[in-house]
Amino acid sequence: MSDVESRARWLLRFYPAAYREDRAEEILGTLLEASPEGRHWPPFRDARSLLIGGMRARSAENRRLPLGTNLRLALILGLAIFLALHPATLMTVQPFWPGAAYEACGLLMIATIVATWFAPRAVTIAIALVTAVALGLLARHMDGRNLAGVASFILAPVALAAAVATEPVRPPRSWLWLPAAAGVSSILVYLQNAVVDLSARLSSIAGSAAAVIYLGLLAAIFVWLVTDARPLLALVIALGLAIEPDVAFGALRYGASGPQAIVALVPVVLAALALLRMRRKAVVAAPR
Amino acid sequence: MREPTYYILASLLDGPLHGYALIKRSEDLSGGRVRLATGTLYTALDRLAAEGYVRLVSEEIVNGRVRRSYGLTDPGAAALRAEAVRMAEAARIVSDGTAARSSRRARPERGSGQVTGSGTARSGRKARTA
Repeated sequence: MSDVESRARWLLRFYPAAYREDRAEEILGTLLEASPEGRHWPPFRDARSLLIGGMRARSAENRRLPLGTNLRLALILGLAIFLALHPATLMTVQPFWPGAAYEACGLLMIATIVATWFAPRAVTIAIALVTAVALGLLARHMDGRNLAGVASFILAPVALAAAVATEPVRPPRSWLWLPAAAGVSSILVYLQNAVVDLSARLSSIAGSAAAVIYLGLLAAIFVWLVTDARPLLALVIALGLAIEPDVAFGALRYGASGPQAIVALVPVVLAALALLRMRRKAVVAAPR
Repeated sequence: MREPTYYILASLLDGPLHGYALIKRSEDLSGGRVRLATGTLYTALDRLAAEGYVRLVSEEIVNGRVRRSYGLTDPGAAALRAEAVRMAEAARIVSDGTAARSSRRARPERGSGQVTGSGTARSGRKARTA
């Protein structure tokens, strides 16, 4: 394989896998014919056109599904991210929860996420509902201040079960790293908060790593907007579930404040942005 | 219709072509102006195929790789012709001096009546023959 060919193959990875399977060899043939002899890289304009073409093909693939399906897939991903964020962090908030029960709940939350991508739908729904019941039982140990937060914990697996029950399309495997990254960052936060006895140095490393993962996740999701708005909507759902009940509960109990209102508005604005992009794509995809 | 699209369709007037041949032919037909990059070509072909203007005609294996040839469909040929007519009409405004004449008429006379007159005569003759 020549240099140009292996590099051109690398550039073709911008295209979605299904598209590549069908067209990669053909496009590669054309690209090699268009590349002058003795070059090590495909011409710059060809490389750039493959990047743009790949993004177009990806965004066309993402708008193939109806808007309702895309909304439910975003909901499923958002709930999975929310569930992944919490098995570790909850323990730092509520260290007085019964330990074994807590760990069982954490494992159930992780099992729900894994099942969503890999198990038959009926199994996923069953695991999600069991998780909701288990979290409900644990909630009896919580004090009143955290009840609003607990409500979203019980709501999340129930909503996930409902979304999976009504949506035969499974979320793409390429999304799985989002809940995985959220889970890893939450474990790091847990380590940083020194529930486990760590040296100050290790704990600060864990904290920085969690921040880097979290910011990387945000950046990736915004870059992703180029071809797909669903991950942003999912993130908004996850953040909304994490933030809004607390804000609403606080507002009810202590009266609303300016900063709280702003915090509560951020997910709303981001959701509107994501929905606008999804709608626009759906319109473009309408049959001519 | 954008210029690259126009030249892709025009390249297929004489029969089906494969990817690289399409790039070369568009470049030749446009006098070197339209140089399609590989990704651009395939994005355009996907779109034109979805619109029904272009279709896959044949597949062969060259150097162990599939090479596909694309041909113009009837709706594609019709769209190309309609675009050509539109551009010819747009060009006539300038080349026949229709626009120039009306803009000159709007301006006050400056003793260039002879030029205006000849322009009118020429466009009048063309209009009759068309």
